Amino acid sequence: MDETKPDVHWIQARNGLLWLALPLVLGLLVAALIPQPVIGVISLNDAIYSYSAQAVIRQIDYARERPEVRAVVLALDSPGGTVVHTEAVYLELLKLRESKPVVVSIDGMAASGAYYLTAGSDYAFAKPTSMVGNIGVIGVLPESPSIFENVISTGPYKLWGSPRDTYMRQIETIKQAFYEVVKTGRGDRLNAGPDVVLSGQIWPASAAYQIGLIDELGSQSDAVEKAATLARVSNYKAVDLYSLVMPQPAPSAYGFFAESTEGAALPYPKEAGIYLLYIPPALVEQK
Amino acid sequence: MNTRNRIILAVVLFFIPIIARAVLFYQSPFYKAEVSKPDFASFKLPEPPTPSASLAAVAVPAGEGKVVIIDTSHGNQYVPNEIEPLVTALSARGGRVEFDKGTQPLTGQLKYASAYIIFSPSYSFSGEELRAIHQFVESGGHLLVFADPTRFLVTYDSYSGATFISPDVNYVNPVLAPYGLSFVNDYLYNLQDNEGNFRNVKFVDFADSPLTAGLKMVVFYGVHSIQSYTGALLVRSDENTFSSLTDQRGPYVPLALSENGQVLAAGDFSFLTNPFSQVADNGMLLGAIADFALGSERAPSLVNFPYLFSRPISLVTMGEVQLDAALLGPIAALQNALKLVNIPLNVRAKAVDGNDVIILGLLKDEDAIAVYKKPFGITLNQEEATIEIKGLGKVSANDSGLLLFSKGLASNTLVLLAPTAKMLPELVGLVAGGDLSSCVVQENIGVCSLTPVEEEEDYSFDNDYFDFDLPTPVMTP
Repeated sequence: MDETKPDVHWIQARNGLLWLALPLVLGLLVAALIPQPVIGVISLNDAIYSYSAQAVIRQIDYARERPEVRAVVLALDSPGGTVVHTEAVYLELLKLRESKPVVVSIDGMAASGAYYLTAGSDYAFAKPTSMVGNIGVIGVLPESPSIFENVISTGPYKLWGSPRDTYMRQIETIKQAFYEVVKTGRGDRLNAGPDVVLSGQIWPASAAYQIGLIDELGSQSDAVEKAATLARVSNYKAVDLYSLVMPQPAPSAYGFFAESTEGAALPYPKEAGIYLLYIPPALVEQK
Repeated sequence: MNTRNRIILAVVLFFIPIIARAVLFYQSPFYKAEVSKPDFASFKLPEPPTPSASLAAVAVPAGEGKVVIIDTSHGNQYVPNEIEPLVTALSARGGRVEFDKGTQPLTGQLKYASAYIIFSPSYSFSGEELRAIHQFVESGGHLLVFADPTRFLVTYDSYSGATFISPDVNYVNPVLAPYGLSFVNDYLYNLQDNEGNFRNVKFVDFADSPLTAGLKMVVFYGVHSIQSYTGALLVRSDENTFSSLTDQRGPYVPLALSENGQVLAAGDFSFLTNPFSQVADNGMLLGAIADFALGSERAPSLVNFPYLFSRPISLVTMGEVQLDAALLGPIAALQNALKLVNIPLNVRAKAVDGNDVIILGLLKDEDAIAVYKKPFGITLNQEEATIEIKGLGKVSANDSGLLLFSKGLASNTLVLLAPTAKMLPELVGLVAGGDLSSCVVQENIGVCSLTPVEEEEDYSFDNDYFDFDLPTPVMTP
């Protein structure tokens, strides 16, 4: 036996390791770098105002920037809020939808501004008795302009912002935009005309489904599944994006809502303004 | 296996787990969607409609001297500056506006009014007030009733914590009921074509009426609909206008006139206020409403004394009537009552041409009073001591006074006839006080119950009165 001749078995084993196991291991290592797809869940369980809108927008930004987040479920339980913050979230939502599908899951309520966001989604789920709609704008007219002996301003509306009449017409313009948002977002799925949609009614989801304000009655997990289907991913995981983005737990919306003399939050805003907000009728009367 | 095959195998083995994992997670690595966005910049503020014609100045004050009473005694939900455009329009036409504060009986105020205006009351009208208003309309007065769905009374029950809303229609509908009109407790809205807001409804369908002449469009800012069973429907909505009560399509009526043409009901009064009175043809409608308020032709009625006269008055006596001391007092009171309404009364031997006339006479002076009682169908039966009045029957001639009022083109005449000269002052006093509650007034005849005055007794000093023994003082120890 020639001792200088290399061991055939060893050579075979080495070649096998080199040509079979090594590529496979390397392939496995590289494959591990492919992230498991994530369905990001963004929850809005609050009125839409500066803080809550910013929190949602940061989560939307995160979802847009992270490749593993393949779709977003926006879980809503909100009476709406200020016009400008609703619009801010809506516009970010549209931008996100260009690259990732957005599915809305309505829990207790998606009223007014919260429905504005719903209309900006690809697909909307709600529980059968979730409250949906209240499409419209609400505001309190400013006082008629007057002047004071000791206050000097440089124009008739410096103190008052705008004429009462103009303010009313601005609200009408915002309503038109809201209707356009609904019409654009829902498209052919909308089964009702402006006389129904703009009536301001809030419907149980089963009725909202009939007129095409939502797409399906179902749970949040149904919404996650739908989001995955639209994004064409499987074996995904659903992740609440709030904890990844916001370091602090969400504060309550006491700064937005008025408070009773006992300090309890009331369901109407503290400050006068124009809102996409649902205010329970009994409280409108009291106010 | 040659090297080439080995390389291929290695590459395959390298990609197998990658592809497997990718396929496991992603059916498609790419997602791209076209998202349409509303063109927010395209939305423009809706402009208010402009008037179709400029408002003409009132050339001839058509309502010179006429009075319009505006109710303020039923918790009416308006502030004076809101109705200033209407008050200005009334004043521009020569009318005078008075506010009924409820301090005097309504009957008294309506005696001289051309129109009575009610805006969104929060309290009910009493039966007496309803009768006064009805009598006012019966005598030719114009009644204008404005309700408004944005005006209501909210009461809070601190015990139960409950909130109650009392709409104005609850309080005005009983006023309108006799005229076949009633407000519906709703508001009208139009989501498709409105004036800046769904509750600001445009109306372009008008009936042929002086109230709507020349109108092309009016806008009501929150308006009740009106049900009318017999009256004229002056304005009608289009089919895209809905009622909040039923959410059913129109047409609905926000402005209606009663069948007799004397009662106007409007489901809104915001259109009378600034700046809404300047939108579309609201200003023209406001002017027409002012004309309507001042356009009543009230039939003079005895119950409206002292508002029976419009010229200076000559007071004359006839027959045996003497201007004695007993009569001068009531005549002075009569003079003062008329002075309060700027009508001078002068006692004259004979009526002056162009003056209204008050005649004082006695029933027994048949010849003298014949000419005055004839048009009223009055027959005096001296034997039975009764007066027979056509349509009223017989009344006693011993304790009844007559008031006979006739309206003429040249002058109005009021004749006061008493059974005796002693009872005439009482009759004059009744008229001067304006209180004919002891009189039956039927159209222009009044029959007043007077107190019979006994013939004068001799009250001369009677010496017998002191003809008795005075007690004698007795000394006591």
